Amino acid sequence: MSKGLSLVGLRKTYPGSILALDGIDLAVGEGEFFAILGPTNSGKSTLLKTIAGVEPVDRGSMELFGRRLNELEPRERKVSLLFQNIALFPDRSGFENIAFPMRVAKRPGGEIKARVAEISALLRIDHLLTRLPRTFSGGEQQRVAIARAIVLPADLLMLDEPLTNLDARIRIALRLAFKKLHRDSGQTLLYVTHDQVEALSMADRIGILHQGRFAQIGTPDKIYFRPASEFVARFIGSPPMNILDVKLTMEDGGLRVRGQGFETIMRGAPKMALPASAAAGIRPEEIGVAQEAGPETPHPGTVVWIERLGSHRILDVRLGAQMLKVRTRADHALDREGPAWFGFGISPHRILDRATGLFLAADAQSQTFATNKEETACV
Amino acid sequence: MIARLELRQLVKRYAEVEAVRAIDMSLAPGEFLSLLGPSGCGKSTTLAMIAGFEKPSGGTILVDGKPINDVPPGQRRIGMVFQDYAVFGRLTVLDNLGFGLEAQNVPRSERRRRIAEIVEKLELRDILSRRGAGLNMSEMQRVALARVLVTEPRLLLLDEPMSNLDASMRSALRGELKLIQRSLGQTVLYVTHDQVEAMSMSDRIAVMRDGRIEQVGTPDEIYHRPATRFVAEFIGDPPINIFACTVKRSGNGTAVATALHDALELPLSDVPDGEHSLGIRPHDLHLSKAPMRGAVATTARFVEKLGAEDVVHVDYGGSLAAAIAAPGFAFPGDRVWLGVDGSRAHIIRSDNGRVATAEAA
Repeated sequence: MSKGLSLVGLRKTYPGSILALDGIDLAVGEGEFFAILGPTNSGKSTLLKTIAGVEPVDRGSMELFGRRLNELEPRERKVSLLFQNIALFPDRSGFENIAFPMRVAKRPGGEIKARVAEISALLRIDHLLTRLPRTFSGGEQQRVAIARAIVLPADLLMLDEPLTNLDARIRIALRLAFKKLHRDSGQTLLYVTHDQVEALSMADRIGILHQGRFAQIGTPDKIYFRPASEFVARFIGSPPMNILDVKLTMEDGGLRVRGQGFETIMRGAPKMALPASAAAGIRPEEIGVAQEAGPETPHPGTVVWIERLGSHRILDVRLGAQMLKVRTRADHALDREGPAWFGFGISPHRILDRATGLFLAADAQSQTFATNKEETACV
Repeated sequence: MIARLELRQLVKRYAEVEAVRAIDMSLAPGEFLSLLGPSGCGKSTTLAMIAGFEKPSGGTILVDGKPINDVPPGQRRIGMVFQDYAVFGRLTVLDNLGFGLEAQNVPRSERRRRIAEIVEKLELRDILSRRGAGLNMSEMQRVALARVLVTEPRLLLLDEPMSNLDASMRSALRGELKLIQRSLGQTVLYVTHDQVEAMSMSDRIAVMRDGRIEQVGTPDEIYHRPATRFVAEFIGDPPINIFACTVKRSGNGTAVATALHDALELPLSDVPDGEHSLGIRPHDLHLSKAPMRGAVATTARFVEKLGAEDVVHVDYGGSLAAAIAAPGFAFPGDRVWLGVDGSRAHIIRSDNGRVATAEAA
């Protein structure tokens, strides 16, 4: 991936020594769709504002396609930033609002017409082109503002929660529209959101921002299946990953993992320093359920509640004294509350050191593990 | 104390708009029913009429068979929980609980008895002296419920209580609310635009649109056997695929031709021959990497990651079809084969907008 945006050691404090960005390092490739995902006040919007030049940084450097941004005025940076709340020109039609950046750039009329038509079809706002903004609903205003922000390619396009507050149906449709737009334009894109589904479904890579730092940067699959920390594991997933307290002991047969209501042996685990206080991370869909005990479902527990969500179900399960979430398909045979049997494997990269809040296995280590079959035993 | 609610031909007209158009609905004692629909569908207006904040333009509201249209809100014995739970932040939990009872002039000894009872049931003992502002969301929900339940309502109304909370918090609160409702056997009417909330907690769901009820049914019925095109499209995430199709009666079932499939056999009997739409959920489209019987070759165009699964958008005639696949199953540009689970297909009739569902679903 060739070089697009490069941030090194970015730090930003607001008056009153409020630390907003605490050492941001990030390289976004040309044409990459990069999502910045994090809870409220994690620094997401501040990061976009510093790149756009709306907020100064305390230290660190910013480069875009080899150009240093730090000393440039906002309009010299060749970036486009769409804020969460943006005002339209009340006296101009939907078409002229969207066309505005192209008019300023003195693009030919034919090109403007074609481009506005293309974008408004994708965002489903064709019906607004001849109308004035005061006749638009809130969601329609928002979509026209999105269209205006993306109508003209920029070296870097930054969108701050563009789909927030839109109706659920429109949001789902626009996810795909953004993917299409991005694929067809090759636009380098920074997309800020607090919605994990938006980040997972659209982005090439995701950076999870937490208290002004990236807790993890990786592809959607990496973030989901190999979270770096308990924070990431609990932030991603619906419902989030189960984190179960375990005791680890190294034995001849492998690594013994003892939890509440279950016990399993990880064979072929390399000798390593074991954390004194550990937990295991298991995604709700990685847990097998059956009405009877079996080799795949050796642990007895109780289904306390079943959530029927149409395409799938979420079970609230009591295993030992702890509660966990289990996800099954809608056509799964187990369909009533009461006693049931459960089974799951524990992967080495899902062992959490409680002292650091980090998962144990670095990449190199987990690749060695991957060749060894993990076994779960009923005890 | 636990009541039956019935709405008969209930209407609400504002100057120019008919917000609620003659709806009929009933809740059995102890039932959890959700009014689900997009903004402006009339669900909140319906709730406001039941609570007594809005006066019906027509029709009757009955609690345990008795009309309450003319009963003032304060005497209806209907409890209401508002958006964001609205617990008083400066008052202690105990004072929050006493608030409604004092307003109702309930005698002191009776107040004590009721508060003690609800504190026990909702496990509030340890937080009684804490202030509302210092509570976490789970505690906040219990206090908001307890504050209403001490007034011994015959019916509990909840108006989008979770709409401003984040996803993981909502998920936790859904389970807790359902357990509380079930253990108390309270009749609940829950208003929401969020299908996950409605699906996960309700015994039945009433889907509303433009002031009318489109369908009332259990969550499974609403999802698997939608009555109208609107319900089929409103429920389900990712949304149902809809393709133009030609229907022709054949033997015991129905042969359906679409842009990609030229003869799908569906176990359906009551659809007239002609041009209709085929509705099929992304979970009922199956992708394979090799030719399979009944599957047609196509190309993957977009892949949306959802974590536990991927949504693969494949070419389907001139449009796209969304299919669910295991994470990493396909990438844009991949050749894939698309199969249809005909036993779960729906035909949306062009003549009346009703949905016919395969017998097996």
